[in-house]
Amino acid sequence: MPDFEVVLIDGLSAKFGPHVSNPVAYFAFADFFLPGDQGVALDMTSAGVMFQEYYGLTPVTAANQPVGLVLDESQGMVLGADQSGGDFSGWTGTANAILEVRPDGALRITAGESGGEVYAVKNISYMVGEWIRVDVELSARSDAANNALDQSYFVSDGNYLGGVGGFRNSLGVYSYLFKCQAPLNGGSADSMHARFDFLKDYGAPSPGDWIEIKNFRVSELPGNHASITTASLRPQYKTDGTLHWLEGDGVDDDLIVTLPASMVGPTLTIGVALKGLPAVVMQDTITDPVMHLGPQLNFNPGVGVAAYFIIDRALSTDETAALQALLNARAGL
Amino acid sequence: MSQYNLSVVLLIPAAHRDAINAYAESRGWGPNNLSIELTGTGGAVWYGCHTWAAPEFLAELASPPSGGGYEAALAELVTSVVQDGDPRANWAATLSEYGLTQPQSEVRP
Repeated sequence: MPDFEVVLIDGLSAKFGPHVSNPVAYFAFADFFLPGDQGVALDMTSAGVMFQEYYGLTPVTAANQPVGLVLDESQGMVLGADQSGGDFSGWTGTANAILEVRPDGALRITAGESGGEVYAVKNISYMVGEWIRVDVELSARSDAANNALDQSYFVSDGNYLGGVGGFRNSLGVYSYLFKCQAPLNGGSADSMHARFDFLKDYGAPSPGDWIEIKNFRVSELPGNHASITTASLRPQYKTDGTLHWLEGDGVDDDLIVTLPASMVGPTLTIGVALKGLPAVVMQDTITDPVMHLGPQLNFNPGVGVAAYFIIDRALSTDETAALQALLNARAGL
Repeated sequence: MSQYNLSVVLLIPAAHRDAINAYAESRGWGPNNLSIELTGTGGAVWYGCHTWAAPEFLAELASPPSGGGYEAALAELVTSVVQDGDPRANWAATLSEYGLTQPQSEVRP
């Protein structure tokens, strides 16, 4: 087949090579990562790695849904230790919030009489760039019609970091994933606030209204996960029942992976599986750790990213062949 | 389950860009949604984006929550919706209809 050029990422290009059909020695992209290896492994075939919002609230479950977050499997997808403190004893509230730890361990947040804001805060240390998973259960409320744990902000000194909403009026268990950002306006980077607003239809709750939360956990999910914070830029998940890929709208869709700064300069191995096209595996260097998948997502109608792989070392011949075979399988070849 | 089968092109004159993006962010849609710079007749600057949307999105655009001072910007927002449409075709047709061009292509071949 003739070679032809495809833009891989900003400033990089490669030639499509012949289809390698060596035996597959690796069953998943994560298998290429040895202890200490850095990079990213996005595999749209993997279950449970795609979410509709960039903060990981709603899993992608059907074709054509928007994708705001794809989890990187390179670091094993193992949740770190719970940093929540284990109970609600260290929480504080606003002047108009009455906090009470209930017999079942839940934290009840009750609106006082002053009419001011009602929310509870917990300070949890974090590192800028860490991906954090927050689990919490909205377990009870005083009035199903009007009360809501409206927003779950994660703030530092008054400025939200991965601010998310969505609890609204629904009791249930919620999980969020977000990347800890540098605080705004000079805030303290070691003081993440898990803040749970208790609002009523975007306004003040009535005195005596309450909600309860429990099963609160905060854990790091290591990896260089791909996300896009702007809703209109989210690509769509596509599947034909066998293959799974992300497809851009050809206008402005994107996903962003921010690699560790240590990956700028050294030789990297980069692999991409575009649905229906032969795998691309190349070695190159990068000058910017922020990788945009837009060029691949918007490649052509009906084509999209089935897998995306970067590792911070050169692969052996056998590894390269195995990677090509795995990428080709994801591409449907 | 929401069906994201509406191809939606949104365009806004530059004077209202910050306001419409602030409105979108206030609704939880993230920052800088209308980000592609466009040139209109006489050199006027516009901004635009394409998104796949569910019907709920259009319902909210038709009846946005009051307050916030976004009314003027929302009144200037151009919306082109094509069910199951080709986003590239919708984008090109809408730009053509409003006499807009994209100075620098943001999509690689």
